[in-house]
Amino acid sequence: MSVVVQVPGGQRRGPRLPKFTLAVPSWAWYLLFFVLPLAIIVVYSFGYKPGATTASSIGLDRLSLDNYRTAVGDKVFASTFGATLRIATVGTLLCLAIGFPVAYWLATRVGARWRPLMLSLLIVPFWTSYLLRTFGWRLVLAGRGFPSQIAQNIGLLDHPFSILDTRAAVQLGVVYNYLPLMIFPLFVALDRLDPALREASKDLGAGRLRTFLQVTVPLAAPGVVAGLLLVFIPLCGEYVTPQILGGAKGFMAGSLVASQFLEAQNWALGSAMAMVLIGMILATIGVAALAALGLRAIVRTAWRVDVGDTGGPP
Amino acid sequence: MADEDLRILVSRAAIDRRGFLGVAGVGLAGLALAACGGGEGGGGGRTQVTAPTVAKAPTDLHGTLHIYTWADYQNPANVKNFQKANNNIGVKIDIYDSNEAAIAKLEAAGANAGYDIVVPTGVFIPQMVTKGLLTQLDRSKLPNFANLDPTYLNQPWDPGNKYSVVKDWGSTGYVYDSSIYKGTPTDWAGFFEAAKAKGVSGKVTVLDAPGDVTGLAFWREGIDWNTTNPADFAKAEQILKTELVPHIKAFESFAVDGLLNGEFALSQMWNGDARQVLLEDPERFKWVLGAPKTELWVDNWTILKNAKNPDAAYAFINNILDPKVSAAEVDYHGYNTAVKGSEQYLPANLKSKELIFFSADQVKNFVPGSIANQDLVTKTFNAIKAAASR
Repeated sequence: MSVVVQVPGGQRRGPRLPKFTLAVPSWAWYLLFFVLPLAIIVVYSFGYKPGATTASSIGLDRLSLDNYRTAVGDKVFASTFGATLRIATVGTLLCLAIGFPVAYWLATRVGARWRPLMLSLLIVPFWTSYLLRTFGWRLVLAGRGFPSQIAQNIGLLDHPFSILDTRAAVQLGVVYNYLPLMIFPLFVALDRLDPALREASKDLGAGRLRTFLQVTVPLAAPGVVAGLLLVFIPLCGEYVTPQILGGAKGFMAGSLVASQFLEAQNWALGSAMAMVLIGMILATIGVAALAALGLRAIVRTAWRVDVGDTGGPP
Repeated sequence: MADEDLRILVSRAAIDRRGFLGVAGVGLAGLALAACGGGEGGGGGRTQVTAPTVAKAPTDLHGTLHIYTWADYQNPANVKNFQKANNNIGVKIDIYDSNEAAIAKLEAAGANAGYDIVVPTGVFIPQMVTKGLLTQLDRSKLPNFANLDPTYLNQPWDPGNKYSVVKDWGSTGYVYDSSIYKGTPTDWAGFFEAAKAKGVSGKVTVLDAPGDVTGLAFWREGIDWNTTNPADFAKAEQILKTELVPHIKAFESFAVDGLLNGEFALSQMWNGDARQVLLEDPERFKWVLGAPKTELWVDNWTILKNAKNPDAAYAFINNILDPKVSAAEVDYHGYNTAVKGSEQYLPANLKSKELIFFSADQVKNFVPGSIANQDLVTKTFNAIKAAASR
């Protein structure tokens, strides 16, 4: 015998859709614009560049690992990836160093009235193509540009500065272009933090620095991780900003992949290089995550508060 | 000041006919179009010739002609006159910045992508034919084909010109700032020599085009530019790494502004761009044509296989092969159109003519490229770029 429990207001009208229905659009999107293209690249990476006498751009009738051998064995690829990794790591850390105070200030110091304005000021630059904005930096950094001339006129410099077409220009350009991607997740994480938690920490006798390090930062950690990934991953594949601002110094791993498609017409090798690049980025993130977890374990041990026997049952 | 800055921004972005900047083509195409729109009447040192009106009875052409070509590579006045003479037919021009990218797009779009005319560089024509992108030309619809100088016809990439008609051709050399470098170089060896000089080193640019950079070593050393021997490439890499890389500032396909504003002191350039520099300041800047060997590139009119408006395409190409129309083209982009009899219509005061019309002795040393060594060229080029970035 079964007991029927009447739930008040639980009556449904119309047919009941399966639970995953609402997720269908996002899964379709994900499948169509991420999984499928990636799968194509994976397949292409095992193909070969057909001779000039064939009509297609890629040969797939004979699959092999040759492209991977070429990509991994290429010294230029390895050294370029090293240089790219350095620019991406420094760029990501700079974004964090600049972005965290900004996000913290936005979330805790700016009044509710001004916050929407401040946030929209961060978004406004996205209304202009980043290509235009990056070209704009060329004017700012050029030896004949206005900052250089002003600096000379007021006697700060005795010669035009030469930042353009250097590593420093690349670094500056990538930090400029990716900074908002760091600030937004940090802001969201910090904004969600209940001020009461900081007050409680204060009430329990923690100083400002300790509150920041032991309450605010750990609670904002998901935002930090999201920001780091959002900046680091695209930065590793970036090649347009460096090329515009870095001149000969702006050669990145992404440029190598692009050159296989746009110069060598070797889609197979380009795909394999892209896969190796993805693998190397994932490996880097994995190593960084392990290091972070280790660091956290150490910090937790060091900061453990000994509450003695009082808390435990007798 | 503001104006000057704007000009720098725009022409950097607009690149040039072979604008190989290689970055996102779409964004640049937009900029290039904006540049064209804003640049009317202000075309640097261009002498403004009034383009000839086409004396022709109204035809039955209609619809829109779609042209897919390089940035700033077409005299707008000629286009306008063509439209006027043909029932005000629409002409829409889209821009690409590399042959490879254009071919990839055409192929992906199923042979026409909505375009009628495309302007590929000669060496890319065989693969376009193989891929079935091009239509075999009906010469009876191109009576002005007879105006072309036979020297530039019947090239290895299209024997008998079955698929292509010469649009214009040019070569590669370099421009140096004589206020910085006092030598008098005459060939590629002189380029390497100048690059080392004090004041020049660190302000050198080479084209952002793989074949032209490996060519620097091959042309100087007398090695076949179209070699497929890996040993030759190893040698070229060695030469470029030791003698050039330490002095390079940028890989730059449009060095005009950089030279004029003093950022660069020595730049490898295509002749049409080099001419723009010399028109601005012929005292300060000197042009040297590459020697003992240098490049011959030829850009070509082709009609796509599935063109929607082939009649308009034929009419447009035929019109541009008219000596008078052709002269207006030369005056606009500064490249030799290979149309016989066009020289007489050029303005008498056309400056730096020697950068458009080369002597037979010079042309003898021009080598057409090939894409058979694409992979080796790209590999070497990337190695050079990686070395230069360190």
